[in-house]
Amino acid sequence: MSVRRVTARRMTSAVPDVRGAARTGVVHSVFANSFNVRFGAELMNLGPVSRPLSAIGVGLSDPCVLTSELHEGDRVVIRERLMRFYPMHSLPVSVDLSAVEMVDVRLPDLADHSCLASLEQELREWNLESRIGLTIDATGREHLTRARAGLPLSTWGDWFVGRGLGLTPAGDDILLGYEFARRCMGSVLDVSVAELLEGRTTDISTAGARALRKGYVNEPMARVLNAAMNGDPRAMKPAIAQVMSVGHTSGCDHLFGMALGIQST
Amino acid sequence: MLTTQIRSNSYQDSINLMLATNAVNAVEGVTRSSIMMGSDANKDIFRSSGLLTEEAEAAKPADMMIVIDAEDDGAVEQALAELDRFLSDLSTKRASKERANARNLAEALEYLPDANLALFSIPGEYAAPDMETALRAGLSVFSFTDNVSKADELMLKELAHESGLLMMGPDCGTGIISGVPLAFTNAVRPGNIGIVGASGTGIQEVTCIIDRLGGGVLHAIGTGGRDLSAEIGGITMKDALVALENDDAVDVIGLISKPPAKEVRDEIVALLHSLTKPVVAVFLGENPEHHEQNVFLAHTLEETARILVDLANGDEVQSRYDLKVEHTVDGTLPESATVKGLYSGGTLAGEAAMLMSEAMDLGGLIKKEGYQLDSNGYQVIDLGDDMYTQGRPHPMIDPGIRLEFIKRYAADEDTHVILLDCVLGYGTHPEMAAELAKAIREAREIAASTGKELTFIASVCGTHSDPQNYDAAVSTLADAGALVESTNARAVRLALQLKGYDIVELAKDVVTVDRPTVELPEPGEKVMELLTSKPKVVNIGLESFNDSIATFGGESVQVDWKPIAGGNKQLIRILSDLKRMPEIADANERVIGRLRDSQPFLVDVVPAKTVIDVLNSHTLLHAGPPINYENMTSPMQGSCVGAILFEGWASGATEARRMLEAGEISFEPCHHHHAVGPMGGITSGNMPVLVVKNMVDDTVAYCTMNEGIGKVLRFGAFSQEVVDRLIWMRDVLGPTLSKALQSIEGGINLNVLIARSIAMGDEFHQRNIAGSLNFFKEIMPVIEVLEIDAAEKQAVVRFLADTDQFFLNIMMAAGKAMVDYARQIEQGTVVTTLTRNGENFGVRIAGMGDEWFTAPVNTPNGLYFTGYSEEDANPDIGDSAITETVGVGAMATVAAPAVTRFVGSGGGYDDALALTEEMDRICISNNPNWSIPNWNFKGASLGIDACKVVETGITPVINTGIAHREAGVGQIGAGTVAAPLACFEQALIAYAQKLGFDVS
Repeated sequence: MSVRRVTARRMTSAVPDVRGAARTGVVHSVFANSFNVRFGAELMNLGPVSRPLSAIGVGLSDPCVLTSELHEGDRVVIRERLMRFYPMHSLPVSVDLSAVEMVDVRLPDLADHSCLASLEQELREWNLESRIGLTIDATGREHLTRARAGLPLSTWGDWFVGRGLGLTPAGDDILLGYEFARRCMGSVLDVSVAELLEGRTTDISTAGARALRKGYVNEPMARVLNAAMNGDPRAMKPAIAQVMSVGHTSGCDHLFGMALGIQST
Repeated sequence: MLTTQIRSNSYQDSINLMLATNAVNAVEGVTRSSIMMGSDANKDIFRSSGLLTEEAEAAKPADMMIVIDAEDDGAVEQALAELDRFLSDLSTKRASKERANARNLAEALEYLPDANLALFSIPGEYAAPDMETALRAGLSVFSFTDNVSKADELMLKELAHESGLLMMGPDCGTGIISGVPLAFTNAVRPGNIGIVGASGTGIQEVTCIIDRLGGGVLHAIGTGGRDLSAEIGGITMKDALVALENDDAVDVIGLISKPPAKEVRDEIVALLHSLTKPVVAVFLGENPEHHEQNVFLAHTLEETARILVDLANGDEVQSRYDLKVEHTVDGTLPESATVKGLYSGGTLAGEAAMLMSEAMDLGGLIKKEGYQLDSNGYQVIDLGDDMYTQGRPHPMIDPGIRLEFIKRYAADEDTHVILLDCVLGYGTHPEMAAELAKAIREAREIAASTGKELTFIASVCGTHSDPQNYDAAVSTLADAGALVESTNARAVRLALQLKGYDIVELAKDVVTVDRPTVELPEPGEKVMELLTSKPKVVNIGLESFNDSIATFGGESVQVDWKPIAGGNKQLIRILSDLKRMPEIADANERVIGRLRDSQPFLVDVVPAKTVIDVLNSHTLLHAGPPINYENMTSPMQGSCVGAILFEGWASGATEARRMLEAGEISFEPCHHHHAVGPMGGITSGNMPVLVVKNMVDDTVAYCTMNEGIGKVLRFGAFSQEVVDRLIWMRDVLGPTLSKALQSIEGGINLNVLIARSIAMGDEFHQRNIAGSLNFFKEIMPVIEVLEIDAAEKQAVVRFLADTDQFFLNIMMAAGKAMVDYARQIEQGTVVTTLTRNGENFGVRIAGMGDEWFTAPVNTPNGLYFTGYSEEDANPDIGDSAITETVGVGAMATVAAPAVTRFVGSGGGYDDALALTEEMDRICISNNPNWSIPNWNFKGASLGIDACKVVETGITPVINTGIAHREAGVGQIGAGTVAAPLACFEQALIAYAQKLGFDVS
């Protein structure tokens, strides 16, 4: 079996710039098309360059070799702009970080929030509530009402933390979408979602929340926002559709939370 | 435009890359391309073809250089895709191949042609020649095997070094190559640390701690305990260090050893200071006071692991690594209370002895009867020492010996603390922790019954990925009441604390010292191939060693090993000596070449005395090696009587016997006169003989003609009927065939007849009907037109038509003409004669010329005509084994499945195939002239090698007729007989003596 080298093509600005450092980490989780690596407390998501990046994403020329060979716990080393993976059952594989394009996924400052109203209008047409990954019972509906009313997150957010299945539970994604919308509008929450999630849900949800707290979002959500800012309804639909395609219900959960956030103001 | 791609650490063998280049060149838009590994020699090839780009120039030997000359980027992209597809297909094809166990290394290499490592776990007394063979076949060696002499170790390591290979061991208990655990090894996560170590459990302890600290080890190369001795000079240690320096996937190097011999130490230290990568070295027994630049010196195995992990993580090395024990004890044991260390791992025992001796000033380590410390009642015993493993398994496999010691010390008044290791991993006992836990509970009860509190302190050497699981083992021991510490050093510290002593590690600064350095040599190309691929292993010995190889992505093929030459060490050594001589293989090829290139033609039939001068006197030729009349069996004696009567030397049988007994008749073997004779082989001057000429150099051979069946001279019959037939053959058959052959220009090309007949189901010893018919077809038209008496002509035609085995004697003469041409090369180990005289089996080999090697002949096994049994059989007899000598007869049984039942080789086609395959194992080549359809058109086996016969213990099998033991009765059955092994053994011993080898 030969050792192959994979090239990192794109990387978000939310990913810690580890290119010049000597660090070691481990493979955190492996999915069909992407995988996560943990360096200390930081997570990094590596997947195909053909797909939009997550907030902590790195786009690779050919991640298949890695997704097929890596397992949780495999060691990872960064040296001289090479991220070297040591799969338990196969040979080392390197990811070349030397020519990676940095992708800015910082949230823009929205001077005019009116575009969000039209976005919210558009989102209503997607009938999101019926498609999210959570069953909203009476208690949940009460919390949704509080959310829409713009009450402090600390008074209703707990019900959503870690609620739902998967590596990014639907409740977490709704909260992230909510904070995303509020940050777009320059509205400060009483507590960040990251603080709310810390130690109470999955590492991947927590990593997304931490990135958001620093002002970073994933590429599909950023595209939705850009389409809204440009006031281009023809661009908005495909951007929303792209978010909807993320995960089983993850994208829908994000958008539902986003709509809640817009409504809350 | 030229495009270069360098794939680092992407080894493929050259043949694959040549095939890949062909595939890439076929892509549209590609003008030319070259794909090779980045060796200097390959760069020269690139340079001469104008393809050596700057990037290719910078490639390392383990890098794949791809240079494509293409019209545009699109073509390059397609070419690279084609290359990936090609390489991917290769691996798929390899993976899907089913394998059975191999019988030897050569067969294993047929199953796994790109094998790069031979793993030995066989008895040491037999191992060195096999390891040498593996090295000469281009495989690195991992020798779990111990008890190899130091002289052999030096020879093997020098050979490995010169060949660019690694010789790991002997007595290499553990190892990791490219993340694949070998032998007794833990499932350690791969990572950017490479280790080379002399010891077994030293490597295991360090790699397991690294794993549990979150680091990883890609390679752990064992050298064996004697590598750093003055005699061996650290050959493997140096080669391994250079290899790790050149492996791009390794960032940090660890070295684990006992202190080396002074002169070796200087060389090793110079090498360590010449490496560009940081090194952590522990010479167990030494307590270093500082680090030296990039060379970090550790005291304990734990410290070694922790510095390695810090360096691997890119962190600063700490000045001190304290041994933090998990348990708190109060150090109030009485003065008389002692600590006993009962270890299964030698290096762990050594570390415990070192730490205890340092802390309590106990006089240092000893090495006596398994004891590494024995002072003031404090003892540390390595229960894996030879002292305790004679005739029983190692204590890592069988806890029995340790359980006995635990019980003994539980009852010992002074023993208050027992230190234990519990080594996990592949190869070790699956329930070691449970076994120890049970013993701990029982021992504590025994101690409590005497009012003594017995404390067990243990450490577990293992990982969470080990089959036994680290956490489970720790819990099991802790539940039994043992105080479990995370490393051996910490366990020792806790034991010392119970006695009021402690271990305080020295703080070490990094100091700059002026050490000599050396110019780093280039790593062996095959070593780098080994370290940059998953090992492909020929596993010779313990079958369980395949498990970890398969689990961690390697490949292996199992060899069902047994000692060669039946374990005869004299012969094993001779075989090894002979294999080392390339000129022998060359001579064998030349001998075989002569056999293969022979062109036997049947040219005439003449009275024997006209071509064999000695037959113009009262001399008879006989079959087999030389024999006196007195020692001949009855059928051969009967043949002699018949021949005398035929020649008219006596008026009757009584007179003939008197002449024979009086010594009035001389005897010589047919083989001494370019002749062969069936059964008794008795040949007299007036008997007509077939004349076969080998047209390559006019070598001529003779054989009497087949008399048919029934009462015949060759089986010892000498009645008037027999004599009358011989007279008819002399007066009619011989002259008629002579005239016929004279009229065929050049004679009859026997190669053509043999090739045609083997395809028709003959094997030319037991079955010749196709050959006889084909001969009949050639000769009949010529006889038809001869101007001879019609009645005589009719008699000849009738005789030929009735004699199914007529071609046997022609085949024998052809075989003799081939063999005598080949025998002119008096070198090598190819068998040139197989024959029997009823008393002895005789063998000659090329290298010993005319010298005979004989042993008592066996009696055939076979089927008997009604009314006869084995009790009636004469011991095997005849020169007809010349057919087997040239690769037919029983050697080609599969060609004639119709007679397999008759010759007793089993019964079915499968038995015939199995016998032929077995015979093929003792031959060097195959004869493309005689292709066997039933054998998938493979050529008949050619060139029986006496070395292979002795090595495998497989002797040539002969198809044979069975004569009645009383003269005159004739043939009573047919069967097979195996040549005695002793003939071949004697031949090899004599040849080795002739070549000047010490055969004592």
